[in-house]
Amino acid sequence: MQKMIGKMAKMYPLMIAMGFMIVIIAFGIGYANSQNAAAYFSIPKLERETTMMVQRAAIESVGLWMPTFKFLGIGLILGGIVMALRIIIDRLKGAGEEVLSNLPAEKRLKLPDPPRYATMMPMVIMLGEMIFIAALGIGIWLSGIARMVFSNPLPVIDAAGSGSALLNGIQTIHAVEGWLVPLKFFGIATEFLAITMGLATIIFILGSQTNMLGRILNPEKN
Amino acid sequence: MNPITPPASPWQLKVFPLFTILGWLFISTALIVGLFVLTPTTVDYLSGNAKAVRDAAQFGTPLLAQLTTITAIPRWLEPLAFLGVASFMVGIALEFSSIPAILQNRGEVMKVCFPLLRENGGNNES
Repeated sequence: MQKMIGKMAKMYPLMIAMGFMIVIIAFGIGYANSQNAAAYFSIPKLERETTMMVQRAAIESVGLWMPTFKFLGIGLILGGIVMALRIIIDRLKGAGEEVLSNLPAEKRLKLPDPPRYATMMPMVIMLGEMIFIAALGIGIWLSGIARMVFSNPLPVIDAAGSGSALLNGIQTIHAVEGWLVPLKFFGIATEFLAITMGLATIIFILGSQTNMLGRILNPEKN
Repeated sequence: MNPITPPASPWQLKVFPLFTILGWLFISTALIVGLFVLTPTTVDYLSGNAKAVRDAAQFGTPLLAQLTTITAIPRWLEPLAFLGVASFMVGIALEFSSIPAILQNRGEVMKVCFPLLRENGGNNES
């Protein structure tokens, strides 16, 4: 399993490139949306709110799925960084084993097992990516609701009464937004935790290998 | 006696878990406030209240209190989440900053070890 993860980690440049592409695409769509908004708000209020529903629906829906899409891009880049750290960990372990292989078998010490958080790192990174994908799914779902709501003239939306589909739609959008923003940051926190674990593992390996060399040189201290 | 000293544990390694925990704390708080304060208040504010009813809310009414909550909280909730991200990044930076000292010590150890490894080396050809 760990070997397979190590092989997969070599794909980290692809992951970083994908993440960067997503952020660039998001910038392009964001720019197009800003032009759409500029055109919409250049029209007098009464006219734009009663006749330009398609533009309004597009502006509102893009504003709902776009942030989650950008966070997915950032998440992939952070995931790529974690995978690169995993490669450093594997190479460090390999180098340690190679150095030890130069010693006679009776003097050779066993390399210490990696700490538990090192084995948890791939799970944490996967959890982070799942959070970003779930957030994007929820963002797309919300943008569908926004399209349904804002395809109506604004006076009709404002007049929506209790129990109406329009008011329920607005309620869903605002209620979900309340926790969707922190959820994206939770995804970022999960990726950062994986990076912290990776760095801690590198520091552990460096320290333990140096300690081991010291024990080989000073066997009386073993 | 070989002049080998184990790598000293840098202060950064003692401090970084604190920043990591702080990061988790801030971001988890933001998520919990979003889930259990913002979402229910938004649902209460919008459910069954048409815009005309919401706009007519008078001072001291629950509707106005709910509006205050759902407009005020996001203004500190997002900065709190960013504070969490910043705490994580400080923790990561501290971890990075401890690596040079460890590598320096490792270099010194390797310098001492090298002759011994060559002396004992029986399978260098592999």
